[in-house]
Amino acid sequence: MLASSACITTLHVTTPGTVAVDAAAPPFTLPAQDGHAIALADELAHGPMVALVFYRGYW
Amino acid sequence: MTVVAISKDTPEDSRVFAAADHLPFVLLTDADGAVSRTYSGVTSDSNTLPGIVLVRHDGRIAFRQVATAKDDRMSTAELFATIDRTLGTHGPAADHAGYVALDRVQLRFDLGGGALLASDGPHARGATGSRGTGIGMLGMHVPLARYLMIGARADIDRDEVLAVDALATLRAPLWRGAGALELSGGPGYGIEHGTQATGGVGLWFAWAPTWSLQLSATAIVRDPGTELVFTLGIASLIRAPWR
Repeated sequence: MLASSACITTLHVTTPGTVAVDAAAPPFTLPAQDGHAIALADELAHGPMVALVFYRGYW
Repeated sequence: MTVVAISKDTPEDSRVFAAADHLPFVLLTDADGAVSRTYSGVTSDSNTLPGIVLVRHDGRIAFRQVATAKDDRMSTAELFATIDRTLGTHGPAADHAGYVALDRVQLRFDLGGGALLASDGPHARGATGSRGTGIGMLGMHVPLARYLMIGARADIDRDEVLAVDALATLRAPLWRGAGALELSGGPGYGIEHGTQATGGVGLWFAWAPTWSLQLSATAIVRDPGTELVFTLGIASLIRAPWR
């Protein structure tokens, strides 16, 4: 009963993320909205910290 | 401090979004979901799982919070406080990840019933042997650590007008911290029967960051006999001001 009820309000996670606190952030390069490729390493060079905000998209 | 937003939206969609809401940060396209899969996770409908990951200047991950429920989003104030702590000036470094329910104070209300197993003590009311009983409990539990809570609980049952118990609860988190298997016990005192001891096992499940359900089996040992009760309860989860 409790396990099935979890599906009502929780997002159904098929693949949980694998990174952990204190581990090295895996490098990546992705295209930005203006078409330029942005690398995590470049952003890290700019300031004390980078906040990666993962979201479900604009709708 | 740089903010980077990542989703599966195409650069064209992101351009519309950024322009419409005047977003001052960059929106990245994770078309195949590879980065999302690594950092936050992916839902069954192949969408990015909402989450925030803070990466320090040295490339190490300082903080990670992923939403496992629709209302499990950090408030802006919580995020700023976390950033503040992570950058190193106020309080301990933020190191916890995952579900916040486990860190919250619980105000629990439980109802149930069971049996009084032996009633042949000096305070027994007439009949000996086991008979049915009902119980209501109201308790406050404060998490000291991920695996330990302490609390106080008031019990009212068929054989005791009012008893108060002190409780220590050991818990093993389940379901990425949204639930726990619990083992609790402690001494108590009842108005009618004096000292008592309680012990129990339970399954706790946070339906949302703000409320939970719990199912427990509890034994109450007191002078007229041992009571074994099964209870189902609901709890309000309150953010502790010191956390």
